[in-house]
Amino acid sequence: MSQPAVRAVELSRWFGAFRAVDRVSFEVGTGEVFGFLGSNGAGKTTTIRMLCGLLAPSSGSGEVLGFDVATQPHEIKRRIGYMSQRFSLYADLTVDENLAFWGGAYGLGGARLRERVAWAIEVGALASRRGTVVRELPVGFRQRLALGCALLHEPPIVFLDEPTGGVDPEARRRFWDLIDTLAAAGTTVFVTTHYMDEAERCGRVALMHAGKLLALDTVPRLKARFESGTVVEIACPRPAAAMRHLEGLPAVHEVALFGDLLHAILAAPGAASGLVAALEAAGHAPATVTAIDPSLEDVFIHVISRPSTGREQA
Amino acid sequence: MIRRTLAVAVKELLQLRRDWRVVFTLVLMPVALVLIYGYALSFDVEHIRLVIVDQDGSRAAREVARAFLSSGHFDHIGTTRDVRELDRWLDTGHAQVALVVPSGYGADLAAHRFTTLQLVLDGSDSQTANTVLAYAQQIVASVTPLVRVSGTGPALAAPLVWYNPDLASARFLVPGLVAFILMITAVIATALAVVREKERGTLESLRATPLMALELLIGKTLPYLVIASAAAAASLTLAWALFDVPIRGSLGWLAVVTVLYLLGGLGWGVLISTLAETQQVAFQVSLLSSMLPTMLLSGFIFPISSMPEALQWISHIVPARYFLVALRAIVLKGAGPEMWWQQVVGLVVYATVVGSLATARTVRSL
Repeated sequence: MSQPAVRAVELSRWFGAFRAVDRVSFEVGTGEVFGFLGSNGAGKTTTIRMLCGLLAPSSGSGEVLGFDVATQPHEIKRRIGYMSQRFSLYADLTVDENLAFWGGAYGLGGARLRERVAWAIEVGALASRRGTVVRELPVGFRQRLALGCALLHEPPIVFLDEPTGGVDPEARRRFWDLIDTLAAAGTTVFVTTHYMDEAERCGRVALMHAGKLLALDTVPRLKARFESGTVVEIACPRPAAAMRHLEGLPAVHEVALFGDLLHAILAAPGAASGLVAALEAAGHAPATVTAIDPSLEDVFIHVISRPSTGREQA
Repeated sequence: MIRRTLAVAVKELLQLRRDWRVVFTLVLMPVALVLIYGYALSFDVEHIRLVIVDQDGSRAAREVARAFLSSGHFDHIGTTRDVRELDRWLDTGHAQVALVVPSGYGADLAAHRFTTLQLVLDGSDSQTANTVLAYAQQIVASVTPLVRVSGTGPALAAPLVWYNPDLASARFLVPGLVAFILMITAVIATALAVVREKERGTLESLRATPLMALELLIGKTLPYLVIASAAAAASLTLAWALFDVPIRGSLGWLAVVTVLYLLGGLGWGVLISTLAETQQVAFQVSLLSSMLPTMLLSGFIFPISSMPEALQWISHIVPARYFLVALRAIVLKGAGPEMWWQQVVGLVVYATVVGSLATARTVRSL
């Protein structure tokens, strides 16, 4: 890759004594779909706000499309699309009125604006709702409209901050199809999420926790951190009690509750067979242990539970 | 850029069109206030109970009494010849005013000699007493030419009230009312318009666009400038149609002064919006900070010259003070800019200071 679309070097932001973002460094290549995965309060939104020139970094530096986030925020704002966590739409305006306004805010007008509005209507499948007031629009439609608004001026990079919050799975799938289309056309997509299945669709994923960037890689390589056979799924009658028991065993590195099931990371692939006996001996019968392919969530839990492994650079 | 500013202005208008409560307030409040103030809050005094003490009994004495009674302001309570009866009339409150025509009044006038009429007033209601005194002077001034035979002096000091000869309070109040309405609409509407974007989270998205602070401010305030100006025009038209408040001066100058005044108000609204986080706080702060000073410290109702010195000083930062003087001069006197340019300076200074503060705050908080 030539010049990276985004570069962050030791980027930090603190509010008083609270370190919202703590020395985060990474690069995003042009045309990449780059995912920022983390729970609420991990520092994802603060990072995005710094990169979009909305918030000055406390220390460190950031560049977007070669422009410095601290000194050239206006240059950045002209070239990026931004869709925020909260709806970046006017609920009391119609679909068409929102598009016209956001296009105008980016300085579009005349034929170019009409052409881009038509594009946004088409890719967002909004043709039947052009005159509908946004307040009355289903959430999935709103999300596609908000994305369309952020892309009217054809930015080479778009920042999406939790774009699919509160949307049903079908609408989320459609939204991500749209993101794939954009990426295929060469747009860099920087997206934050706390949905694992969404992160799986990103080219590379950065895992963020408590202001720190804990891991950054492609999804397959993040999963390949575990030796085959070391991640197991355990079914037993009282998973919470069984979890406390398993935590005491030397063969088990980590255990986490996954709904009614337990996921465990074992010290060695062969340890699974001894686990059933150990559980049933402790009164957790009947127990079954199955080796599984690790999910991104396993990786995430693994990474955040061992802060000692430290930050990793891209 | 003009395109971005216009986009904001059009958006604001579209939102206004759907928010009927705001339109209702912006359009109907001025109309309602003009009607209420025009009809109800009147300093005009009617049905003053008048007793006539005619010690002279001449034709001239009857003529001046008739002039009082036909003026429409007075109710005739009684006539007497004895001044001593006055105590009873006034003490009991049966009469508020007594016109005393001294003996020799008719003879003096006939002989072209100076003479006096006496007016005895119940001063416990000083407002009414002052008004009555003014009415009486007008009436006598209108009567004496009839009584006077030729070339001699008047019977009583005969002042001429200019600009508002029948001292109708509507003429005095309506310009103040216009100032009042404009300030309130301008401040509240803009403060709410900006804080609403904060509350709904759309401000964050606006910040991520290349929209500059000034473009946003101008775009957002432009529609309210237009609406408030229309409200001002409607108020003046209504006052002219219902209460005979004339517009003697130039409409062009009226527009210039009004826009200057509005700019200050809009700036104040924006300044409040950068400090308030919720629409509720913004509404209360803008209502209090625009309504009270405009009502109490501008000369709208209470003359500035009769305020304590400290308040007179404070009144210098109330823009309505400057606007009112200029507005009354233009509307009632038809005076040109040479008569009120100092007020324009006051308005320009206010708008510049508040506008700069608002822009600086917006740039920082945006």
